[in-house]
Amino acid sequence: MNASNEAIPLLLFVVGDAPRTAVAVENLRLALTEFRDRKFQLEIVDVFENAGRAIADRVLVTPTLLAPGSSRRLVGDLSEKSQLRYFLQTLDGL
Amino acid sequence: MLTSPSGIGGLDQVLHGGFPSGRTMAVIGGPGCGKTMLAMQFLVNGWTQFGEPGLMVSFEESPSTLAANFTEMSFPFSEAVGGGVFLLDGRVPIDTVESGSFDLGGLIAVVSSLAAERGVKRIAIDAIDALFAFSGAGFRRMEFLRVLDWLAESNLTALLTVKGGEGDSGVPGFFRLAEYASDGVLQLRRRTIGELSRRTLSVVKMRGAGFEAGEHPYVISNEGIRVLHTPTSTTSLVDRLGVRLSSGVERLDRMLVGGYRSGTTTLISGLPGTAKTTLGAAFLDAGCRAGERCLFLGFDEPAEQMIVDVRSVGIDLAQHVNSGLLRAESYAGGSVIADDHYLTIEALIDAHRPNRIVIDPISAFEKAGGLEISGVVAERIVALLKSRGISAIFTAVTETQRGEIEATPTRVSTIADTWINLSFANQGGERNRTLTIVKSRGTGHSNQMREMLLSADGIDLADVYSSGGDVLLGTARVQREQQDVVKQAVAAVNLSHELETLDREREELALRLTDTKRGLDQIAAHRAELLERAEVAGGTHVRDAALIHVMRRGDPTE
Repeated sequence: MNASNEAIPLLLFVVGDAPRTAVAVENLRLALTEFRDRKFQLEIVDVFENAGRAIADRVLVTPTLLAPGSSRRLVGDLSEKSQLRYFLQTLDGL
Repeated sequence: MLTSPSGIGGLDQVLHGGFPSGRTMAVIGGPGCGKTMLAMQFLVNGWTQFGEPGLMVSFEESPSTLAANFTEMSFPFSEAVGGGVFLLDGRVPIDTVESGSFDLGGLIAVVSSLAAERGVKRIAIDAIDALFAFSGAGFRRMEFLRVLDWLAESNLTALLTVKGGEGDSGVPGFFRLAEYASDGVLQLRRRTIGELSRRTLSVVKMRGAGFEAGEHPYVISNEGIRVLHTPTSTTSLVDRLGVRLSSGVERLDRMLVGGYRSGTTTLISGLPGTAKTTLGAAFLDAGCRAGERCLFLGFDEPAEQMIVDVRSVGIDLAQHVNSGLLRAESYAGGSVIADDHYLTIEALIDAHRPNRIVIDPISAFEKAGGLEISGVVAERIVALLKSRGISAIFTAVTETQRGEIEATPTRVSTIADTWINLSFANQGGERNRTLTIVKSRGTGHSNQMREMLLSADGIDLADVYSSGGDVLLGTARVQREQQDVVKQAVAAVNLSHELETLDREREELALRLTDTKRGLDQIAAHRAELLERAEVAGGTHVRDAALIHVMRRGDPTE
């Protein structure tokens, strides 16, 4: 598929500045740099500050990574790289 | 300790007021015990009865499933959800994949935010074990404790439902963790007796607050959960015991020295067809005539049929139903456990507030879960009635005729204050109804067997004749009565004969008296004539016979 110029939105729900938050953000940032031909638009949502969005997206476990429009989601600090890579690659099919 | 009432009938009494405010209570039980129901009632009642906003975090069922399950209930679920009770979907979305470690920070952030925003006072966390099903034991323990820590700091009154207990169908070992980490544990149990389910709950642990120990039966209906809690206070009873209530049968009142004692329970036992129900109906009729509120609960036949039946013995209950004094209800006995009967009775008593009640028959409870349970439930009912000062008649069907004393399996005979046994006597090719007062606590009573007679004029009791040690009933009694009548007639004939004889003698004497008088008169007349003649002849004035006599004595003729 060739949706190259459209940036794919990503939402990462975290809670405050917990160590797990920092680890997840860093893991995601590194993974995204591997995709040279794809553009992503990452938004980080702090559940403490924006509970309404967490409720709307049914996020109670943090960190949670999801792509609006896809039913799939990743929970955890994204330290399992292969899971994260597979998740990001298959978003091409959107 | 401050408590947050659940508003669930009976449960708050078991908990001495309610769930401990600001604490976390684990509700542990297997499938079908009603954990979610209990949690939901806690929240719905919290809002609708006590004005406390609540939050339900459901990890197994979606808000729409919950709504579908609870909107049909008679408690105001929809009103609460439209008002101060919020449902939060805690299910993990299906396509979730794990990548590294995570925690429940999101949950706590969301719940804190909602609680602050809506002023939430009560929270129920339903089936949190579902969330932990897909992760390791270390995570489970740590995150569960994280939730509990947060709840402890939050000042929310929390219920945490957890699968487990017998069979432990939930996450292995999880309920043990819940058990020791929470402030209190409410254990729900369900067991099957025959084809019926029986549910009980018990408080396993409660930090710093009192509760009623032991297993408390509860039932789930469309009203939600209700717990059987038997009141123990009977203070209102004592000063009413002296009051007598008419049984509706004048002769029976006399046998009981004035009637049943107010506020006591009477057992009427007997074989089928001995007119137990009729005696109960007479009691209600007498009550309604005295302006008292009455309640009839039938488990054998429809109440309408009973009302028609007793009309044949001159008891008109329909008028009392129409006037609103009498409420007559009937229930099919087979499909529910005795605990349900208790709650049915309690609800009816609360609704109708009767002075008198008839339960026909209490032995129907034996079908509802066996002897052990029916006995306990019957005792609870007696305690309930005593605490409300209600006078009661329980009928009980006995299966076989074993002499005079027929123990009722439900042991009601030992709890009841008065026990009347109805029976049949087979004699001379007849079956006749008999009535015996087996016992009557705290009052004198006749020890004699009576024959019970039913007619269109009502119920009456007749003396039984003693003949060579046997009691005579029915035709034999009537024959004996006729023999007596003959004897009396013969005696009357003899008496009138004697009277006649006497009268005859008196007449004879009277006649003789008349003759004698006539003789005396003739003598007197003759004498007067003689005296006159004597005066004329002798010139001598002889006044009377006495003087002549003296004069004769005066002659020296001797």
